[in-house]
Amino acid sequence: MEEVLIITMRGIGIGAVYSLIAYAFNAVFNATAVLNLAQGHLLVLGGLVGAEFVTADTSFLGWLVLAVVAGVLLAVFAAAQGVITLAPLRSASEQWSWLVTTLAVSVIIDALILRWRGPSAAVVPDILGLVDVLGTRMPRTYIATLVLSVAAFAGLATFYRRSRTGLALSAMAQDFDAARATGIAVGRLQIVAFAISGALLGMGGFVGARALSLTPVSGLHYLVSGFIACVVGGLGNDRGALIAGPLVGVVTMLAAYEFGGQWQTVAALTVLIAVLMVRPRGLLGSSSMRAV
Amino acid sequence: MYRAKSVLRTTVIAVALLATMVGCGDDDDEGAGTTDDTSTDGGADGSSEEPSGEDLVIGVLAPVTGGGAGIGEQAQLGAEFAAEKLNEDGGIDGRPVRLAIADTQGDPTAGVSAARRLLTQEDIDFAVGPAYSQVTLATLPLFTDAGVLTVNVTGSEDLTPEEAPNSFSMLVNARAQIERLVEEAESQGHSSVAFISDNGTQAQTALAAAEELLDEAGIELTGSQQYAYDSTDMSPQMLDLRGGEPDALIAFPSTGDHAGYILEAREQLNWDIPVIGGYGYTLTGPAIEVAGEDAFENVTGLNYASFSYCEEDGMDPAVEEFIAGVEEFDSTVAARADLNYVSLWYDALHIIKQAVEANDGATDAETLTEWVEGGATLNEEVGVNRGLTASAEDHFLIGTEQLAVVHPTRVLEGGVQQRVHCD
Repeated sequence: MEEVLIITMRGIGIGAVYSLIAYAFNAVFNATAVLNLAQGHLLVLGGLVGAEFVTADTSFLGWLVLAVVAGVLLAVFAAAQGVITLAPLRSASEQWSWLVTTLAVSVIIDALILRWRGPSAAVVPDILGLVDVLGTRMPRTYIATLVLSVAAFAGLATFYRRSRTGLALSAMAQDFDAARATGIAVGRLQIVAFAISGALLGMGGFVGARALSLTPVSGLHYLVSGFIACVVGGLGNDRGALIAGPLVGVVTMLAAYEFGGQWQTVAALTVLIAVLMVRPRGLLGSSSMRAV
Repeated sequence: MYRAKSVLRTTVIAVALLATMVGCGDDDDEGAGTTDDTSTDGGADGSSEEPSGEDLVIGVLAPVTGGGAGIGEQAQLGAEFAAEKLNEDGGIDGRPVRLAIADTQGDPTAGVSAARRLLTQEDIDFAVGPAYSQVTLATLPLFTDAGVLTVNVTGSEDLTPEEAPNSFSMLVNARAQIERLVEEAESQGHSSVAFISDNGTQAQTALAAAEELLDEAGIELTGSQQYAYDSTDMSPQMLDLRGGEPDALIAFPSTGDHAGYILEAREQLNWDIPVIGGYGYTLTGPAIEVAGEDAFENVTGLNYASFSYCEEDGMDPAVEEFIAGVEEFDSTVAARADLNYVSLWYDALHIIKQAVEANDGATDAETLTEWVEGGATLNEEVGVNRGLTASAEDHFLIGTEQLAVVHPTRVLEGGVQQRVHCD
């Protein structure tokens, strides 16, 4: 029983990272109907900011500042990616170019990481340390990611409900055409949505860096895990993502314990299939047909 | 909703395609990249033994780009340094050595294209590499058909003399490693062990060998676990293995950071168990970054015997000379390379030299294969890894005799580690 509790706590911690990736998916999808296939790779970039700037002598305050810096850097990067991704969509009748451009960005990021850091995994010094849990020691990184995930959820909820920009983005999510018709600057706000996703991934990658695999080829793993959390929670629904991320994290960790590590991905995909068979729109996804 | 469903469906297909393209998981990562061919002339330095005549062209198949680029860089370093040394010493049978580098990208399809180009356009006499099992298996039929002797750097058990009649391997295979690790478990007096590895092909072979050899040795295997290549938290696996209450843990990671993550989990779970580590535990740099040097208490690793030392003897002079030479050749790459791995590619070219010169300059694969299989002992006086042999039944040049159990953190320059057994 103790082992299950230990694994559950760690699973929630890594699952919180999947939630952050899912929020990032939702931010972009709600504003643009695009699924950014470079999300996992952006998360790895956020972690590499930590690998580049965090040392064993970095103070906790310094680490917090760097977390914000990582968020800002990735927000700018993602905004630039948004410009590249959305430009072809504005004029073309076919609206699938985002598939190619976001995939291309993911491949480019992998190549850039390989050039910049080499092929080996980057390791970030442990600033947060360990906490005693049930006779073992658990990285405080897992607590930090959970705190960040909950804070991000609360922050996004407040932003979408209380700020003008957030309300405009919410309006775009509900009815894009109507939002545009009312004069909302949809183009600019879509870039803001990309920037929000970048900020989430930058901070998520930085805060969770000790628990992440930071290699040129790890982005795909986090893309898939985050995507599963996004779909299980309900595409476009942050509350669903908040729950689904830890669910996926715990299930994969428990699968490793019970059946072996080689079953982790299978377990995650099984959760995806099981949820979609019972609730095709995800745990908290809403039906989108609107009565006129 | 229809738009969302359509987007979702398309995205799932795209992610599946990307996953197939890029490939996830084990030591056989594949990556995108362009084929980049360079030919390198081995240059004579004007010594009295300057090689002359027609070039002896040796193809070097390595992952220059893609996920395995780090390995490719080391392969090139070893091969190019060897070519320079060989040409300084008069070439092979008096002929200058010229390298033709071909990028396999770590991918079988790209590897086959690269091999074809080497055979048809570069007209190679020999080949060294590739580095990945799937690439080697894909390219071998081409070299076999062309009658070209190859020295690959792959450890797959599938490289039998039937599959690879004219190819010999410079990499220690999983079974040889496990033989050595089981010997060490016996030597430490353990009656039960657990086993942990990644989920790659070589690890599967290692596990099968471990099950067989532990049974023969009368040591109980209390449990086995695997982790995916992108895993960083091994605590679920280690908790499961701890439940079996083994005396020791045989750990078979393929990278230094995985070696570190296993030790990190051991530390965090307060599980004080001896770790008998495979070759991955010689990659101490990344492992220490992850787990810290203190985590290496009661941990052994496995290194090539040439890259091990006993305190009373110090480093092998041949290894010392190799390390100094390769650092002078390219200090930048040497600083980040695993020089024991670089030595495999260096030795591969020296093996070709020995085979050719022992057979009066013959270059045909059949003659040289017969000579190597016939009991020739290679690298008795040249190269880094000494006393290599093969047979008609076994084309792996590195056996258990070329492996040493080491203390991973007691390291001299160049990654030479202190042996555990120095009698």
